Amino acid sequence: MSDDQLLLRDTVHKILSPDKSFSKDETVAHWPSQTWVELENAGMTGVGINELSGGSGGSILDVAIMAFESGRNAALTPLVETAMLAGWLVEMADWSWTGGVETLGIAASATFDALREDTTIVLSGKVLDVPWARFAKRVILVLELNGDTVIAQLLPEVYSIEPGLNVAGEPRDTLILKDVRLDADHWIVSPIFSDDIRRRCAFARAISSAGAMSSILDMTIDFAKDRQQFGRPIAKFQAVQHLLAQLAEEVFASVVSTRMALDAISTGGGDLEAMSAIVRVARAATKVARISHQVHGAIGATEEYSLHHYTKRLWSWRNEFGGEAAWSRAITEHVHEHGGPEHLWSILTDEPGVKSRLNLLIPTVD
Amino acid sequence: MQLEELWLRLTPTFSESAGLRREVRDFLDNELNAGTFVPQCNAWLEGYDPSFSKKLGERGWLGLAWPKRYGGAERSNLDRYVVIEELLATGAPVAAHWIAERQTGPSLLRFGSEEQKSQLLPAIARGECFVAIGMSEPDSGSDLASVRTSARRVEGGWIVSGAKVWTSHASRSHYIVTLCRTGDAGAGRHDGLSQFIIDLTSPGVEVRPITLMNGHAHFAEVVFDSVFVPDNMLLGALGQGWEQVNAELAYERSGPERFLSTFPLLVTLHSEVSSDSVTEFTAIYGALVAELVALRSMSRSIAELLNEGLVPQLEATMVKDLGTNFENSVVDAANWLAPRAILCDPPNDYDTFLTQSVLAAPLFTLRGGTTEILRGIIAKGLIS
Repeated sequence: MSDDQLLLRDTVHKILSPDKSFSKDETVAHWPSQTWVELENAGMTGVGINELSGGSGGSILDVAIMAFESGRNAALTPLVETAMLAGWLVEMADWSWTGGVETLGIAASATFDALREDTTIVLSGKVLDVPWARFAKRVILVLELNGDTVIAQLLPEVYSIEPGLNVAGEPRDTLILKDVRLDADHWIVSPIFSDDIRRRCAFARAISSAGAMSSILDMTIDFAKDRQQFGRPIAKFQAVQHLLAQLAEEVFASVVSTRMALDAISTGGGDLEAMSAIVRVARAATKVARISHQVHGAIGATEEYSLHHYTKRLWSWRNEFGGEAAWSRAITEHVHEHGGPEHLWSILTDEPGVKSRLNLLIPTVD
Repeated sequence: MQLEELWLRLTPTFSESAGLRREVRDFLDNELNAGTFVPQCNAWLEGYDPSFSKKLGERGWLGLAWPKRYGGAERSNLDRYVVIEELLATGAPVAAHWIAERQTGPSLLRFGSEEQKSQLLPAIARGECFVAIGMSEPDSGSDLASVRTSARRVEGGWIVSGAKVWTSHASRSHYIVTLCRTGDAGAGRHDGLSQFIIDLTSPGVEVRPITLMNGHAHFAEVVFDSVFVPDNMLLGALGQGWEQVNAELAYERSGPERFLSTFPLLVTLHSEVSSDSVTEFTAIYGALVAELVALRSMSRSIAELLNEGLVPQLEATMVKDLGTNFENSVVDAANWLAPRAILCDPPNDYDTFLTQSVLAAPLFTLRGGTTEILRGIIAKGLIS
């Protein structure tokens, strides 16, 4: 990681970490005005967005650093949505950035209708679970239209909002559109598929989850060393030690798989690595939350103690944009599309088309 | 532990020599076409073929990262990683040289005398010298520090007495690197241990093979009845055996053999899944691939760190625990998706791999440190 990236990490961390006055009531939406202003002033909200579009520039690794830090601090901000998700599509569409909060919604055909009239598209229906939509200056909407993936930009005046929150107090709003007509300046046929966009979103959540897990690990180790029962710290008990070891293993797997996927993406590939990281992290999230609460005992599940700010995020993030099973199936499809399971080793080692030696022994099955 | 620091530290430096992977694959294709070996699960322990090891030696693929003057090729450890993962993924018979190349070689390079290095390393790199490891004893399993095999000082050398057990391929190896007590254990129990390189043809050495439940007899008990070991076969420093053994562990525990033992089963599984189970296969198989990708990332990133001279002991231990669990989960998936009666003489490759895996699996989580010992090591590292 370069010096610039270390500086970026420190900057984001400094802005996000002092704000440990976690929202008291997570059933009420809270706008982090002070934190957001600091992020804006430091240029962080425009990281990953092209300088020509009004952003601060930066690579996927730069935005990933911010996503990791957001998770590590259980930050309540739309930084990931603005910089890593919406900002990415804004740049792809060659639109200019609003300079404010932006977010991304993915329309499901079951609740959404789109049709095209010449260069205008007409949109109606509901888009569920759009993160931070109520605070956004613009929503980047992804939808399917006549077999194409379309990326559209929606300004607040064209939609209404049914507010919703996840258990961590992060807005997950429903967007309601009624015969919204968008001219050609407000939509493009996407150069990539909606599954690719969904993967980017799920991967962003995986990175933040890995960040949250690294804090959970530290908290849990500290707690186990501190908490005394039967006359000694519970960390001295073998049964607890085995939980701590497994907790660390899950965090290690999550940290490394997201990090290595980023490297693969940076060099122009990484689909399989990103999907694998999503699945691996989702699996780890379940285990990390379970073990950390188990070690903490009942105090860890109280509102007063901060563990739940992290574990609630894990529970929500692991299921957004697909979830573990859907991405597992997508990995199998990827393997089929790249030569089939008999070529698994070549697919893993990035040499498509190279025949697995084992295949020589297996009759071909159609 | 500062995992976020690890997140920052990892860099995409894993670079392999162009064409090397291809070269290894071509070699394996030719060997398979010529029928010189049959792929198997757990081949790094049970696929014993000295002639195959010799062929690898001829191609310069053993001791790839060692100095040229000791028969190596002075390539990176990452190139070595490429070679061994290709061999493992194919289920090639690499057991004869495995321990010598993985463990003894690096240990000699680090602690060995010039004489030991010139005598042993070139022969190991040629695939002609095989070495066993004598650590566990009948009364010292996981509690390695309690070893009782002793080495007593005599004129010109040492007299070794005792017994080692669970020593793979002792009956077919040339030497056994033996952990012996040479002095008082001290308060920490880890003092007074030393390693000796003992010629298995020495008078007084008796090797008693142990047949496992799968019929294989790679394990043995090795009894030392007042065996004379010359001075020049002490490995490293007297009394430093514990530290030396621990230094090997990051190599021993983080390699791809810790998660690829059942890979042949995973590769053949898809062709045996009945139409009823295809939907389940799609989800379960994808999850296994995700785990495999993650393990490979972890193992390769440790190889990078080792290559830079770091010793990520805890991380290596985590790979072993996660990796052996993965090996078992491949067996579980096979049993779920394409169950078989686990026959002695299976009719096809899949059934063969399944039988091999089922019978070898109990040892996955024992060898190289039991799961329980590993988790204890990890936890102690975390809370220290």
